[in-house]
Amino acid sequence: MDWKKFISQTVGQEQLGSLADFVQDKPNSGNAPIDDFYNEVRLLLSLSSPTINSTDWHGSMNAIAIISSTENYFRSILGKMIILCPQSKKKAAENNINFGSVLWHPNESIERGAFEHVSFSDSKKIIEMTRKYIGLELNNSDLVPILNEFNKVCELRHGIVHSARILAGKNALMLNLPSSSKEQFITIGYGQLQNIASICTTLVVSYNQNLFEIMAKRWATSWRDSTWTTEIENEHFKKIWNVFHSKVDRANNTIPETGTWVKCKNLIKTEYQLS
Amino acid sequence: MINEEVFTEQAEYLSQDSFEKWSTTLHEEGNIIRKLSQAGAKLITGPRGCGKTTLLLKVNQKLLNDSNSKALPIYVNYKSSLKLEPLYRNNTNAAHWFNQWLLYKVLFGLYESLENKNFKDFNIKPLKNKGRIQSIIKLLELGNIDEIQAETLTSSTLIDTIESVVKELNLTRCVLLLDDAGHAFSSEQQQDFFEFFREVKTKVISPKAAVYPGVTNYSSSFHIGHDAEEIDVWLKPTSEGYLEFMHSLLKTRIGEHTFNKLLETKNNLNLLCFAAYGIPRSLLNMISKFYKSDISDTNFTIKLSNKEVLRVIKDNFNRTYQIYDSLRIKLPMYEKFIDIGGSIYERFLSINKEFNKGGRPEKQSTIIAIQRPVPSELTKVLGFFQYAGLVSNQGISNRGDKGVYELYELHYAGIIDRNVFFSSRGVNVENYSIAFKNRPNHHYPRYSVSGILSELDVDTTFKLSLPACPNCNTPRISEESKFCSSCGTKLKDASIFESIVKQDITLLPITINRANSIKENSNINCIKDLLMDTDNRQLRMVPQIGPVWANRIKSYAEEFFA
Repeated sequence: MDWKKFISQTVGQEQLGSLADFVQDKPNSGNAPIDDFYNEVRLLLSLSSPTINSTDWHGSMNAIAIISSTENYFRSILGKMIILCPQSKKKAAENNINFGSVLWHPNESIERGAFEHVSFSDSKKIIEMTRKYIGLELNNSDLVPILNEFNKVCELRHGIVHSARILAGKNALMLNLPSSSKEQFITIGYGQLQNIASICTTLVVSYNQNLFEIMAKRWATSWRDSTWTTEIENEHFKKIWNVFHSKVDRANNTIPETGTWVKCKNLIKTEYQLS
Repeated sequence: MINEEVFTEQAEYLSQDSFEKWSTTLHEEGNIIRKLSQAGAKLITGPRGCGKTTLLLKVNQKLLNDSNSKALPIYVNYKSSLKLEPLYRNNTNAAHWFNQWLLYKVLFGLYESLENKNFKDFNIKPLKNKGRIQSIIKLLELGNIDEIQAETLTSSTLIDTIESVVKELNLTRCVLLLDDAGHAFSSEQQQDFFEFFREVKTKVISPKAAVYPGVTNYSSSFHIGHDAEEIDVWLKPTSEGYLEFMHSLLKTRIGEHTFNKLLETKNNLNLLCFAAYGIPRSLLNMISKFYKSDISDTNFTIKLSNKEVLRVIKDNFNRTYQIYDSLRIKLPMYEKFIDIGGSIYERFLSINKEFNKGGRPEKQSTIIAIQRPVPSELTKVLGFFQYAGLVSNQGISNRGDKGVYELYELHYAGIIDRNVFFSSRGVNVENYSIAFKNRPNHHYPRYSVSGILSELDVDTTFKLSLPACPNCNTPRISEESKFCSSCGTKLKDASIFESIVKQDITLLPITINRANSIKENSNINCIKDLLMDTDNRQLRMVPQIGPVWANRIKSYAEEFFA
């Protein structure tokens, strides 16, 4: 008898197989990043009913997916800012990019590569990247409370992703949970998942709003140079509009003010006393 | 003629002279006022109308007028805090702006105290003038936060300012008197208020706050006993000297001559005092029903007939019950809780009626004992009862192996109206007075939760009434839903303030004719219209509404969401 074979089954060689089966082309949706986020979250939430058991994996896995969609929003919107905004472009030039990202990405989406090495599941990183690439300071902004809430979600995510839902001491301390003699197990049921989605959505909507206000201000002030014409003005504003305006919210009638991009543009011009 | 203010029920609406002239003191009150004047954080609790504001104003007056006092009082009324509640629905930083409002209101109160102390030229640095502070408070209440972005006031700046004023005046401490603190209907604001309360508490600054029992949510880091001592200021009808206090309150308000007339039917007068259930406001309201507007101070007839007294007591009970029932408008989410609560309250009364059958006057119960554990849904309903003053929490009774019971006393007007004592055909005023004066100890019906709820199932009965999706009208599939299960729209909790002020003015305590007249002769239709009519211009366009009635109607509107 072989003592080495006393403890478990035996296994043979395994290979992942054709990697082409694991990835496929994803056509560009053409949506604003916020709408891509909305669509993902809606799909994810539809997978969970109020009857899901909070001690099962179901809620936790969906929670990770929602946080992943949130991270994707930040990559997407920040990437688009680098293309759209001359100031952001200048700020981006001060930063490094992974060579691998340059090699891998097609030219039209190389800006995403700037954020590939960054995890946005941490509010400090969101603040840091916004400062480094946009030149916008989020500390002391109205976003701080929701960024703090998002951090709590990310502490939970850590336990789900890295230790089979056992909460690590470091994360428990960050969450101000009282110490316990037993291991703390993360439980995500229907209500908790809805709360996580609500926090991520509020963060994305608020960030989108803040960035839109900054871009509108820059469009009305610093982007204007000697070559500025009405055509350029419209073209640039249309780009801003397409990146930030949510067609999903418009369809749901949840945008407080109604009107076209032209109306919005004219209101900004009035505020900045432009003609 | 009787002074217009005689039957003004809320202390904050009395003129300074009337307030001082009509103040009455109960022997326990001295202790409470002393505690509120001293150092240390305190919370005073009691239902609407029990005299919390009166106590805080008395402390304020006492400290302002006492030249030997070493304390600077600052009185702040937070009754309009619900005006900031919509921010919690549309601003991610709502807690910050609510905190700003709390801080600026204290700063404004500091200016007022200094003026009352005749330190008019006191220059509070580095902060702005009183007019600007008032504007900031107004802007915050209107939600115009863009206009005050750069004028953030921190709690440490406020603390430094108050402490430097205290030092400058050669005083030793500041007593912060925070009235109507943490709005009864907004748990988010309540929790943020108690965070603020903890922040401003220092060795020099002693905050005292008035809160409602049963409906106050403290923040997770706020601990009663540790962070503040709780003082129940509700004068219980079982307290020693209760009748004497109520008599003296009446005597100071309506004058000795009128009071002596009332004393001619002493049992009826006492029954009215018991039916007020420790709420001076209720007693004044009931007595006012025996007045006619054209009666002069010296030449009048006032008779408390049995029939009329019982009718007025019924009205008083209905009025108290109305406070409870109005929660269905103020907290529509809890509509089903309020409905079921109505049946539960009737059950409390009928249980006691059955229990009291055949008992002697000194063996008549007014209390229901409910065995623990009490489910959170029933606790919520009991909280609403306490807020309205329909029941008062009498602590617990520990019966060892037989369990622990929570004790709730029922409103005496309800006891009288439903003839809960003796089970005789009619109410015998004399026997009722004897029974109310001789409350038995440990003699009350004890019930389990299932005994009270009978066949009702907690899980299926107590459902929150949450609004459907505003986009596609799909009902929520769960109370925990934050997104529509059909179209995915993010579901928002309705703003309590917005839904309250949208209500029609007929819900105010004015006659239908007057409400209709206001609608016909002005642009006012809902409560919000009244609040927006800042200088009463619209109201004054209505026939038979002069400055007094305009102010009164405005105060009804403000009271409606307070």
